[in-house]
Amino acid sequence: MKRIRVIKWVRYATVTALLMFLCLLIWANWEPKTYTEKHIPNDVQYIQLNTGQVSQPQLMNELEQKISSVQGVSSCSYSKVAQTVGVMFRTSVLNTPALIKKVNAITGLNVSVKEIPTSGGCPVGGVKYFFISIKNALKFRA
Amino acid sequence: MKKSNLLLALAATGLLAGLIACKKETKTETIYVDNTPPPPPPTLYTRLGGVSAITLVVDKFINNCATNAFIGARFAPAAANPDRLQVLRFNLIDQICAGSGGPCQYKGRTMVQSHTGMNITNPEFDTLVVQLVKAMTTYSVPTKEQNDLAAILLPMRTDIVGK
Repeated sequence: MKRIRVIKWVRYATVTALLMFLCLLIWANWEPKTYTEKHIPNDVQYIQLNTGQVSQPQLMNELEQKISSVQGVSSCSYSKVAQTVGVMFRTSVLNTPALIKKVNAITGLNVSVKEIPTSGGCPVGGVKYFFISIKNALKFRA
Repeated sequence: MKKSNLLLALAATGLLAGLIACKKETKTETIYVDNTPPPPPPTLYTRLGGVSAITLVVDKFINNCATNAFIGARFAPAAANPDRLQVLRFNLIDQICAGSGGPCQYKGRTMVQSHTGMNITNPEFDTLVVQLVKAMTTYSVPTKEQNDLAAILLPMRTDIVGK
């Protein structure tokens, strides 16, 4: 008797999970991709690297140019005040350890990742970003 | 005999002059008929180099803002979260692309809705503009295009500052 009840619950749970997944799939593919989504890759990540002091403006520019030239890096900016370099890169081409390795190799520095809070700040925040990542993962409509 | 030769020469000259005149007339007529309207001037979107060029500028702009000592605290947390970065990045690309006459459509919230409660000051907005100019200069966007883009974006100040 107990076994039958368990099987019943498992069935209900499976059907509910499948229905929820189906709903998410329909929701994710309800609208076609926008022009930007079609043409611009969205696999970018941003990190800041502690560089230590780079005093001369010429060296700062050189540092930015060298890091920008790494394949997969989409932008790079140096902050003299914070002594950090912000790097935006494509995760399909690079990952953080590989980026650090390449930056150290081409600049001769010994950089480390700076911890940045990921909440607060600009008006893009909240629980809806969790759904955006789900939407991106499930979207197959062109 | 001499007289007839002279007459012949005169007739030949007249014929030649007539032919040249006819030719000239035909040429003038062709130019007159070809009065198709000139092609429309390229949009700012085209002059900026399309969505790929706009993306380069936006990526550099976000990076400049996130590493800036004055406004970095506002941008860095959004940039460091990949999902938030994607929304911020695509919203900025769509806004510039659509505003400059491109095929994109901005689907984000209004500037007033987005910035209400953030208490953004005029110096912060000015710093943001400087970072945008720096980003455009990095990618050698000509001054005219920089000014045209600024003319589209700067009126947003009233919707962003002091909200």
